[in-house]
Amino acid sequence: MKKISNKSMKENTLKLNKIALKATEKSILKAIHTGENLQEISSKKLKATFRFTAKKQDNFFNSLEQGKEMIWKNLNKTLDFFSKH
Amino acid sequence: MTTKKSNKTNKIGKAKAIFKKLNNDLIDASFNAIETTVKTGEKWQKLTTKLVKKTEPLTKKQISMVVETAESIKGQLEHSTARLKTLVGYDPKMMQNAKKMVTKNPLVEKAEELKEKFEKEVSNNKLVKKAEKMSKKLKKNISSTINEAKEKIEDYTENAMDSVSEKMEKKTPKKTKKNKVVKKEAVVIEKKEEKEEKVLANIQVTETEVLDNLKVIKGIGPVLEKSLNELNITAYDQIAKMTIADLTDLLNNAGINAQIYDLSGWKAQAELALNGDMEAVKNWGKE
Repeated sequence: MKKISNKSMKENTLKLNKIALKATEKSILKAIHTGENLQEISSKKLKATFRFTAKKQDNFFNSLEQGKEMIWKNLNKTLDFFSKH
Repeated sequence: MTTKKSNKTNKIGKAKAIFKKLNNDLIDASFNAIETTVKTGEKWQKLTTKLVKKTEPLTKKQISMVVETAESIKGQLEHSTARLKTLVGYDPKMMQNAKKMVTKNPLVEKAEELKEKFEKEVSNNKLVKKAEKMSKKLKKNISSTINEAKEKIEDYTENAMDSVSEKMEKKTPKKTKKNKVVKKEAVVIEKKEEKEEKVLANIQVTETEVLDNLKVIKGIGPVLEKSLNELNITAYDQIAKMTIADLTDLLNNAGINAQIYDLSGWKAQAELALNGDMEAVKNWGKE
């Protein structure tokens, strides 16, 4: 049987406290690290989607403008035809 | 004696020393406990501050990400609106000028004046006023005729109910119990119904191949003529042979309310039509 002395009690509590501190520090640091990684990934994905939507929008408007030009050309042609005949 | 006294003093001194030691130990232990708790608390505090500092860049990054997304959405919206404007050819100044041109155009002003004039003329026109009055009168007449018809139907039903109840009262004996009265009433109603059925059965219409224009008779319209034809009444001869009671029974039996029609002149008109005096039939009621 070991003797429970004043010194041993103090040492044991300090040891336990050290262990608890280290464990909590480790776990929280890991959580922060994973959070950072996730954030980076999500930001990258968001940027990519925004670029994609911007491109799509440009394409859409380009096609609309092309259609408009075609219609105007045809209209002018028909108007010329009717004015001549 | 002296030895005894010295022993006692020794014992007291030893006990005092033990108590002192115990007290000192307790004080030391409590001091140690307080010291350790303070130290551990300090350590935990340090750790929390350290971790909070480490999370700060993460929160900053999150905020910047949200702001960036909002900015990119705003930029895309602006870009799309600008392109739409160019596509449609929208020019705000042009639109304002066009609006002004339209509103201040003398032709538009004239058109509005003309419209107001037309509206006034239409509202003041005698024919329009007459038409409005006529429509009001028609509405009143229609509502009054509907009300009259309703009242007539209600009166007819009330009279019929009263006559039935009077006849029941006459037939039932005065000094009887309530249950007996009810039973007898039921018997009387059954007998009446039987009689009515017999009467309806007696009205037999002989079918003929003659197809006369029954609409000549006053009160017979195209709808009633159809329903009469369905009851095998197609000739003047058939109507001339029937009494008013027969006619009412026939119509009621066919689900047509005979009370609405004035059957009093049907027989005479049918006889006149049979004799070929169509003018008299046409002028029926005018004289």
